[in-house]
Amino acid sequence: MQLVNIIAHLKEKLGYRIYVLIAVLIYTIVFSIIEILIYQSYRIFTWDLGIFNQAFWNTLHGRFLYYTSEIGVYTKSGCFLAAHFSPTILLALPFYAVYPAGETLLVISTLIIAIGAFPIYEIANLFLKDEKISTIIGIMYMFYPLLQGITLSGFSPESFAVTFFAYILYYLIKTDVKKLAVTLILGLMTHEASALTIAAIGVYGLLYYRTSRNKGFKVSLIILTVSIPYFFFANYMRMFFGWTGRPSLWREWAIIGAKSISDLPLKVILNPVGALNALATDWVMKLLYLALLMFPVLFIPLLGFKGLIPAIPYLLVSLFSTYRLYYSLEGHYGAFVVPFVFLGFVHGLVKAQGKKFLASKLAILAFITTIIIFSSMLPVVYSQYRAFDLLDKHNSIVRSFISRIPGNASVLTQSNIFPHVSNRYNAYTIAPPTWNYEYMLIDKEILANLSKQDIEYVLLDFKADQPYSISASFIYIEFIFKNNKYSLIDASDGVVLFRLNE
Amino acid sequence: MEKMMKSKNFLKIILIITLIVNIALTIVNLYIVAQINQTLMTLGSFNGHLNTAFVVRAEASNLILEKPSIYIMEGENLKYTVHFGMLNVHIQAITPNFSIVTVKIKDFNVTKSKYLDPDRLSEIDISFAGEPREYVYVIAPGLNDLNSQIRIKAKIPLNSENLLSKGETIQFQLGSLFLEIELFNFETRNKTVTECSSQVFITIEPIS
Repeated sequence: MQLVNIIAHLKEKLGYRIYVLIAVLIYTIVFSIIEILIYQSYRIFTWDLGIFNQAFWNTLHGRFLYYTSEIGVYTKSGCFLAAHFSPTILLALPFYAVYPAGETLLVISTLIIAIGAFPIYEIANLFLKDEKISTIIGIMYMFYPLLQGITLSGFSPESFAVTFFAYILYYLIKTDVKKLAVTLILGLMTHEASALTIAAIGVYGLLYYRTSRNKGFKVSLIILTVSIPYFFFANYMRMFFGWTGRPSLWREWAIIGAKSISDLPLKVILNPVGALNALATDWVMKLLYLALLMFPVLFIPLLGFKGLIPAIPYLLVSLFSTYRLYYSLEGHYGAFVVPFVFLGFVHGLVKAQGKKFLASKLAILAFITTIIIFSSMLPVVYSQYRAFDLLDKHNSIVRSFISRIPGNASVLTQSNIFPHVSNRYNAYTIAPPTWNYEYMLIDKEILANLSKQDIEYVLLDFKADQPYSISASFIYIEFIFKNNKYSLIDASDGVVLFRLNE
Repeated sequence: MEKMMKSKNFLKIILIITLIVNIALTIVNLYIVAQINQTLMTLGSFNGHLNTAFVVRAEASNLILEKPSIYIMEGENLKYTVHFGMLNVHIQAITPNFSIVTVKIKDFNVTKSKYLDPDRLSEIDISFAGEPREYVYVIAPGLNDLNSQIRIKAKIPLNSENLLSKGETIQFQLGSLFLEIELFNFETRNKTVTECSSQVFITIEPIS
């Protein structure tokens, strides 16, 4: 009864926002639980959680954002800011300090992503002046498949970026300069690549406000002129924090001859044939990606194309690449697209609003379509995680083996177990050697270097999903077998624990 | 009115048919799931009954050492030739749990030939090419079929008195290579060792 009264009071105070708030809370609870279940089944790996858990844990223990898995690869110092200049992630540190564990980061990440529904609601309400439709759009945002792709990718700077992009858009459209300044700074500091997306938000603002006398136009111009130099500044800061200067090992734009995003525009111009080849590579998946971006929102953003402008830099980067994760619904890269699909959707509805009835019908139809896609994709997505068997014997064995490693001991393990042992300074892992040949060579180099360090424990799970089981075999062959100084402590169901001989 | 009644009845029939089809498919689905579980249980109990890991079969192909890649001279005399070749080893092993298979060279018996320096037969060196002293494989519970391709390096002291004349190439039997295949079960810590052998042939040609 009291709860009903509280809701009634809140509804009076917040209006329809209360429904978005309830949806945000439900989303956070449900998806946090799902994420934690996936994590507990050893299916969230180093680069989606472990590196952040280790970086935060080390920050709390006096080593600023220190992590081990990319030392010598992307970072000389071990500081995460060398790999990506993302100081905004430090916002999560006080909450992490309360309960320093991977689970905390997953809850924080899910909550931050869900909060993005508020600015989307507000943007819709600003344009459509209809709280009901705006509520539907706000809730629909959370059901959008690409947003779940970001949510299910563990913790990442992109989880912050997606929500800050939405807030930057909202405060720009509202021309609330003070709040815009704060969100702009935080948004830029989510990831060095965010600067390009934010610059495109500036372009959107210029087209939206049109006249130079308008305050919003001037603000958009400032956003644009700040973001471009910031991109280079962020890369300079990476150098400052010890970036090795090594381009991504995925060689995403090798067909064009570009080594990095900053290299890409010039190379596209100089090598148009290569650019066309790159576009044509895996074109079916790329087309499917574009279709899946638009289908849940019934292609309405194409009517309001202006709203899609901030998504263009990322779409070009991804479509010119040969790295499939850039153009798939999985992964956290959707952060650079999602808010703008909804901005385009709102602009499209505004065009249809001449007939108000049509706009609300289209919004409801898009909502139903998104729900249908969500509910039909969900079982397929979750079946691959096989995360809901809480009593899984194998996972219990892995857990019991981890518990046998002393908290302060150095440990080497494969990348899906690493997040669970990363609450220490000296936890190590390698990338799956099957990723590509270059990764395999780097793995060999890392293991050769670790051989000199006398790592105390090595935990391998040969029964894990691929490619982690291959990593386990690789570590065994290249590290345990070659060093010949480890004793087998215990083995069960493919999980094997080794200790350094005394 | 009659039309509406007809359409309502039609809708009812469709709903009933859908319901029946759904029930039937659910039963079929449950039956298949039960069968899969039964099969998995049978497989599980089969693996559970195995308590030792063993090599069912280990075979090595003939090893053909190609024409010399390197000639090692001492003054004007030929001291050694270095040859490479590919050896295929086929191993079938059954194990109840994850295990390690290691393949290493155990021995080499040379067959005398006029092309080999009779005083330095003991200097014949056959090893795995590159870094490894042993080849290691992780195998999973159940039957494992390993096809291992191993590059072999051989250092051969040829008889400088019987070198071939220009344009001549000859292949002869160098001897027998014995491999040791060890199977180590992580859980029981049991080791089983098997051997297999390969006939080694070598191709020689004169220094061009």
